[in-house]
Amino acid sequence: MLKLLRKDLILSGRVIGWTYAFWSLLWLGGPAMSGSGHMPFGVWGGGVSVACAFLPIVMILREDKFRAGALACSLPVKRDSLVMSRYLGGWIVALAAVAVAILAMLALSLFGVRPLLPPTPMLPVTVVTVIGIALATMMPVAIRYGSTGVMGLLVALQILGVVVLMASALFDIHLVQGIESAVKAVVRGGMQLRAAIGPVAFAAVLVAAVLGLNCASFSLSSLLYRRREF
Amino acid sequence: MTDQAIRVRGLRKQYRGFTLKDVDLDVPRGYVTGLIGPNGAGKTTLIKLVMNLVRRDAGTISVLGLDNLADEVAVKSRIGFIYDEPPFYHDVSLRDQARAIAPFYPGWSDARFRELAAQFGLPLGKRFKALSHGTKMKFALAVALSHGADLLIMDEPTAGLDLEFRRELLDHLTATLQDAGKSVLFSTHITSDLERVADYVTYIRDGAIVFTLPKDELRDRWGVVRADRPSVDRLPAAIVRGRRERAHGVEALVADVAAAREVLGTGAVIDRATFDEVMVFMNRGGEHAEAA
Repeated sequence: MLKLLRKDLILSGRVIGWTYAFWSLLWLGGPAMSGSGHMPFGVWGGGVSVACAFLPIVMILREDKFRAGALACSLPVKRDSLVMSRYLGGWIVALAAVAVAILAMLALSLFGVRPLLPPTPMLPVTVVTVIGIALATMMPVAIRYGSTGVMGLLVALQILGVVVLMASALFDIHLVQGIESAVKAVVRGGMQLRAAIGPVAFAAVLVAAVLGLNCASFSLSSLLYRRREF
Repeated sequence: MTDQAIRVRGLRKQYRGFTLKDVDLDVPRGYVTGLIGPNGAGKTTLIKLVMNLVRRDAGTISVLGLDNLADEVAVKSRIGFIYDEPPFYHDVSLRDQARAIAPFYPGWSDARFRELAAQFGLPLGKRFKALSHGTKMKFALAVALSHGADLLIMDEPTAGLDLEFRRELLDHLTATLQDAGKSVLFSTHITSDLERVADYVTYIRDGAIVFTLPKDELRDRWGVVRADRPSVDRLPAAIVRGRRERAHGVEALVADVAAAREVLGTGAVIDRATFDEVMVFMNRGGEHAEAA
């Protein structure tokens, strides 16, 4: 497993580094310049987590771009190990990237720049949850269908959004409000669960759910990757 | 230890419009086997099936005595594999690509890689995309030869290369085989490459293996009969591999020159068949052409 992680680091590390450096300008510079100081740290951290979850996807897309999947599959490793390395590497890269971003944002406060509200103890759980959901969703399509799959997923989500908006407007049905209500209900349910079992147990349940989701995603990705032909 | 580097039985792979048809193939250990056939005959599919890069529909593949699926890791650690279009990262230097690949192979030798890189004149600090096609193939060959592989599998390794480098690459193959027990399977369109290095020739057409023969047998026993139609019609069907109508008569590819001469007499015009002629006759339909 270490050999696979090392391989990806050597072959894609530099590009990931440059991509991350560019994005850092946006997520550090943007709030610093607006300087309102009213954005919750957790909301900012969630946004950064979504972006950082794309970094490991970039590694997979690079392999797809150079048709190097055939190289990986001709190495003496099992395909399941290749998939496992994608998930492990993905989590390591995304978590490390978010951690550095958060530390950088906190460091700004040393220079008197405080564009966000102070972080809460739930920040790590928010980061893990967002990264976990993003990776679990994107990994199977990226691993099986490469850039076509990821683009297809993103376009499909966009089209779904447009269809929902159009259907709401044309047929006077309250789809958007319905979705909003559903999201609020989930959040409310989470808050109630948190109040009932306490914040520590709630965090543990959330992290366990995210890990479970990633295990299911890994099983699906393995199944799909075993069928992939080069 | 088996006598075959690769043993294929009943291998089947179906695509829309193409089927690899229950292929049986033996690639002898310690020899160079050339896989030839027209475009779309199934050469690349067969090689990819051996490497488990595509899924088979039926059949078994044994590589160096091991099942290529059950013992995939062990099998691949003993294979050096070269694609017609090497699948390396274009924006990464050769040195870094080799550094990323090396740990996967227990038999990898940095000294050997550096020696080959120097011999091939590889600019290790340059990015892959900056190289010519020939240099890319040299790099792929250097990587494949640096981990002491027992079996080299190459898919059209000489396609698109100039004559000088083709010769250089083939000379390396020959040198590699000086180590006893090393085996090579390579597909090619270029018959002169086969004549230069192959010990065995396997001909594939329309997804089926037509023949596997020692090169010497092909060279010594196969011939082209040039005669009128009644004479060619007298040849035993068992030895005629193909025929074509010419302005001055009929040409027939025969698999046994001596038998043909026995039928036609010493005055008949029978030339040794070149590899090019074998390819031309076989590509036109081979045995089926007899009915035409």
